[in-house]
Amino acid sequence: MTSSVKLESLVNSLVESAPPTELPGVSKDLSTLLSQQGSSSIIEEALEDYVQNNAAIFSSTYIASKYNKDPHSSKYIDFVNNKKFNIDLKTQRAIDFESYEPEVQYPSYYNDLATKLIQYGEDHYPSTYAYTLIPKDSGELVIILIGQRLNSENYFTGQWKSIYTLKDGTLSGEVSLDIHYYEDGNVRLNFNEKVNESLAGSNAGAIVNAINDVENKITLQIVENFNELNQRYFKNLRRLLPITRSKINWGSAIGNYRLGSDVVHKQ
Amino acid sequence: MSYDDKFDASLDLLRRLDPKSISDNLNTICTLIQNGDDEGEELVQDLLSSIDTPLKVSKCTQSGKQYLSCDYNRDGDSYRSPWSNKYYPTPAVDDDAPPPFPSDLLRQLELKANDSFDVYRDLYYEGAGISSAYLWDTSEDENPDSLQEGFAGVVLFKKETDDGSGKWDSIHVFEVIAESSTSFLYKLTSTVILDLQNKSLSSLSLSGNLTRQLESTSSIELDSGLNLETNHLINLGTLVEKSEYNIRNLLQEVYFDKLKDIMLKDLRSVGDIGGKKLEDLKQSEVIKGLQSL
Repeated sequence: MTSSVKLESLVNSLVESAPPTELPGVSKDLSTLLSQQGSSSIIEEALEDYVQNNAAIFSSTYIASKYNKDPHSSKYIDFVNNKKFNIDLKTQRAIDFESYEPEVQYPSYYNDLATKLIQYGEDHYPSTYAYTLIPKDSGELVIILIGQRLNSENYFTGQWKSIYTLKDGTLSGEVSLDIHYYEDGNVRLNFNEKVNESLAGSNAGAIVNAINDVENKITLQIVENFNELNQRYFKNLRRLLPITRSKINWGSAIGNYRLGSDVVHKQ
Repeated sequence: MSYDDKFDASLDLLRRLDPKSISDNLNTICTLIQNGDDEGEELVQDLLSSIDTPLKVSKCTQSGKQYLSCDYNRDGDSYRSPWSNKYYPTPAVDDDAPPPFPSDLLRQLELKANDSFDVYRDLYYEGAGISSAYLWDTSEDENPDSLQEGFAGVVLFKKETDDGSGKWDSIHVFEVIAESSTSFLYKLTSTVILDLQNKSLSSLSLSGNLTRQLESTSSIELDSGLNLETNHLINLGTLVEKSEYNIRNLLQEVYFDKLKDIMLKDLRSVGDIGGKKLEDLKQSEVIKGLQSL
C-alpha cells in the first residue's frame, strides 16, 4: 500500500506534465486509477497547485493563478470586475461569485488598458481568449493573457499564455506555448521565452503596442525555429529514400548494397 | 473499478501527459496500480507490453556489438541479443520458466532478418544508428514449423544525432498469419518516437510518438526459385519499408505543418485575424520554402 505522502508526490509528478487544457480528463483518469482513501483530495490538491502555478481559464472568461489568489479564502480575485470566485476543477467553471472591494490602488491607465486588451484579444487570439490585470501594492501590474483551443474532434488542444509584470516602464515576464496533438499518438510542442522590453510611453496604447510587438516577434521566431528543426535536424535523422533514390531490392541480393558501400568506403 | 477501466484510464493518461516523460510516467502509473494482488500485477505487465517507450541499448559481450532492447526480447531483467542469441545479463537458472528462444528454423530467419534490416538501417539512417530484429513462434506446438504455420516479430531502429537534438526510435511489431500453404497475411503496427529540440537554437521542443497499422497479403510462388524463408524476408522488408516511409511523411506533416497551423490559426495570429498580414506571412513562408530547395 502506497503511503499518502508518497501517493501525493506520485500524483503531483503526473499532473505536472499534463497539457494545460486537459485537466478534467487527467483528473478523471486518476480517479479511476486510485481507490485509496483520501485519494480524491490528493488529486484535487495536485490540480489546484497546477492551476496556481500555471494559470488557467475558467468559464471561458476568468483566469485563476497564484497572482490573483485571495490569501484569506479559497477564492480568486477578478480585479477587472471587482469580484471573487471559486473554481470547479472538474467542469472548469468559475462558481460562487461574490463582490469584492480591492484595497490596492489601481494605476491611472487601468480601465483604458482593460478595454484595449479586449480589442487586442479579438484581433490576435482566434479562439477562446481571456485576460486579467492584477494590481499589486508595490505599484506593479501583472498582466495575464491566455488564448486556447480545445478541438477534440480533430484531436488537438493548445494554449498560448503570456504573463507580464509591468514596473517602472519595463514589461518583463514569459510567453509560453503548449500544443498537444493526439490522433493515434501523442505529440507535444513546448516553447517558452523570457521577455524584457522597455516601453515607449506609460499610457495604455504604448503598453498594448509593446505587447503586440513582442508577441509578433516571438511568433515569427517560432516559425523560424520550426523551419530550422525541419531542414537541419529532421531531414537527416532518417532519409526519405536511400541515396540511390529508389526503394530497397529485398531478398538474397540485399548483400550487394553492403558490397557496394564497402567499395565506396575503401576508395 | 474494474481491470478494464483501470487499463483504459492508464492508456488515456499516457496519451495525454507529456510524451517526453513517457518512461517516468509509465513507471509512476505502474507504482500506483500495483496493489499487491494478482490483478495489479497483471495490469502492470499488460501496460508494459502495450506502451512503447524509447529503446534501451544493450551490449552483447560475445559479439561485442550493441543491440536494442524492449519488452519483446526481455526475460525478467535480461535481454536477448540478436547477434549471439544469448541473454545479458545472464538470467538465473529457473527450470520451471526457462528464457524463451525462437525455434531453430525461425532463428535462421531471425539472423537473416537482422542482416537485411542492418543494410536497410545503413541506407536510410545514413550509416548511423542501431537496428535489431526479434522473432518468436506463435504456434503452440513443441517443434513448430513456423515459416509455414506463421510467426511474429519486431524490428527496431534507433538513432540519435551527435548533439542530441534529434532522437528517433521506431518499433515495428508484426504477425505473419498463414491463410493457406502459399498465402500469408502480414499485419504490422509501427510506432515512431521522435524528439526534436536544439537548445542552442531556442526552447522549442517537438516530441512524441505516432502509431499506424498496415497489412498485406502475399501469395508465394515456390516454383519461382525463391524459398519460403526468402519470400518472408522480402515481404516483411517491403512492408516495414513502406510503413516507415508513410509514417515519416506523417511525422513531417504533424510536427511541422499541423502544429505550426494550430499556433497561427487557433492560438495567436500575427496579423489582425483574417487580415492581410497572415497572408503575407504565409507568402513569405512559401518563398522561403522555395529558396531552401
